[in-house]
Amino acid sequence: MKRIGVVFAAALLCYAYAFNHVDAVYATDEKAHLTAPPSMSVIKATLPYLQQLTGEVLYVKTAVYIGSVIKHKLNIQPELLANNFETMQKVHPYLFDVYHMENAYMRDMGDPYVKRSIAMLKDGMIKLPNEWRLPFYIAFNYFYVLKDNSSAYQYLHKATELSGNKFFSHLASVLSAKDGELKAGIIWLKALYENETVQIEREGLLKDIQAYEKAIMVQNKVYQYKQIEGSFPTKLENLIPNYLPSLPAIEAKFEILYDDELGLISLQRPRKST
Amino acid sequence: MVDSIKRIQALAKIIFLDGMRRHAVIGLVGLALISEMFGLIFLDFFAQDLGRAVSDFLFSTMWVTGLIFLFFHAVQVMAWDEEHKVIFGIISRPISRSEYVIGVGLGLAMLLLLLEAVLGGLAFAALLWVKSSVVIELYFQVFNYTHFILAWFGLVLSLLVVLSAILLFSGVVRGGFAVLMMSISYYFIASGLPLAREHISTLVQQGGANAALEYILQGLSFLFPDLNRMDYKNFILVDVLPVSVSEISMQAMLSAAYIVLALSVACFAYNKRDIQ
Repeated sequence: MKRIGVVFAAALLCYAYAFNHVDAVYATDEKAHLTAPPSMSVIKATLPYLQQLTGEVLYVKTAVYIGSVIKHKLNIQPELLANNFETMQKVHPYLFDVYHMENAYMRDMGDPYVKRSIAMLKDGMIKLPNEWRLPFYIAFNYFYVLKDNSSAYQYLHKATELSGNKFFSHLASVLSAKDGELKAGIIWLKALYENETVQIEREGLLKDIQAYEKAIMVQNKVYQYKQIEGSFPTKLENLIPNYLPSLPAIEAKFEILYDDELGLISLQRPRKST
Repeated sequence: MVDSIKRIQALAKIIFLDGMRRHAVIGLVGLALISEMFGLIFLDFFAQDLGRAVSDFLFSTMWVTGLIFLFFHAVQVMAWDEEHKVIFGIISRPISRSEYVIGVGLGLAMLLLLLEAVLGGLAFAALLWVKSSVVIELYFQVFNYTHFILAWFGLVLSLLVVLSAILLFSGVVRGGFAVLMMSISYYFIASGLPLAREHISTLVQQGGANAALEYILQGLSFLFPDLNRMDYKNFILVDVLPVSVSEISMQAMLSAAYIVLALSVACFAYNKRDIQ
């Protein structure tokens, strides 16, 4: 009996040590939270009736991964994330949450990923032809990230047709104006802000809106300068102190650009390396 | 003929009651309930398409529970009768082997129907409850009762197709384990075949594969039907049916004919088999 007790205690110690080691490794290695998913073909071949549920499980797993990345301020793995979204979309193209999430996160991962996001959203439009949010997301990505206003305008019109919302119509007309990017941008951001339910996303959008408002204010001062002085300022610092006490501080994720020939202010997101 | 039907009914009733006595249905309903309770945590992750996530989860639970019933209970029934020599007691009475096969099939189908009816009722109630508790209507806009019943029929029909294949294997080979292995293989082939066909068809169009291979796969899909074709759960959340009624009827007829064919072959094989 005593021997069994000793063996049991030794086994328990070994188990506790191994458990502690493995658990610590798992907790610190963010890669362990999200392994590459089995390919879409494997899921479809082995789980025909359950492929939708598998897509949803992958969605939950990805949501947990993104949550841990935000919480622990880790670097996101863009390729892995994009693969996951593509697998989810292929096995369950009818689940709207996938489009909502991939659009929210892939648009900040660089142009190639935004293009992949747009491709997924376009596939989604075939499966969910009455869903106005899909062309709206596509239009937003074309405008906000890829700076392709004509494509954005086209998809925004599609969103208007599907939703019957006059607001989008107004936005499309502002966007079609050649120099209306800042004003169109702020309307767009406010629309997204109103529709966003995730607090962390709302905070990010609010910061963007504030940056746009500051840029529009500087743009107005540039036009005022032209009216009084007869020409555009050669640099923005020339507005100080008669037109502005100082240049406003813009959110770090934007660069403020100034074209002294046209007197145009624009905001640009610094390109992220992929 | 009438006597034959009476004998089949009597045997089916015994199989049904035996299944109830072994708690095959009650145990699986309990399992499904635990799974659905776990599902409440799972569903908390969905912000937008809540109705779809709930219906997918509930139908997947029904599908998995049905498969567990088929692979862990239905597979054993005929094998158990042979291994425990019960079959000699049954066929020494005025009942033919064909009647025995059909009676077992009918009894198991009744058990499966009861199981899926209970789970379907629970799923219906759960969907109603979730829809009534969703504050923002956009997240769960439509719950179509008729399409729910259609999806339920599709699920049951596809499980009955698997059951008919299990009865066929039970009629052909001896032993529960062998039948289980054959049934699982059948399920995976039937699931993977449509994908293989799609792939080969693309290759043939591009000139990368022989067209004969496409015909071989088409022939195989005659033996291994695409179980996914009766997956109608995506229709629960839409008002207008995206496919025609005639298409659905044709699919149902195809499945029913397959079940009858499989049972006929099972009867034929069991009549020829040496069960000593």
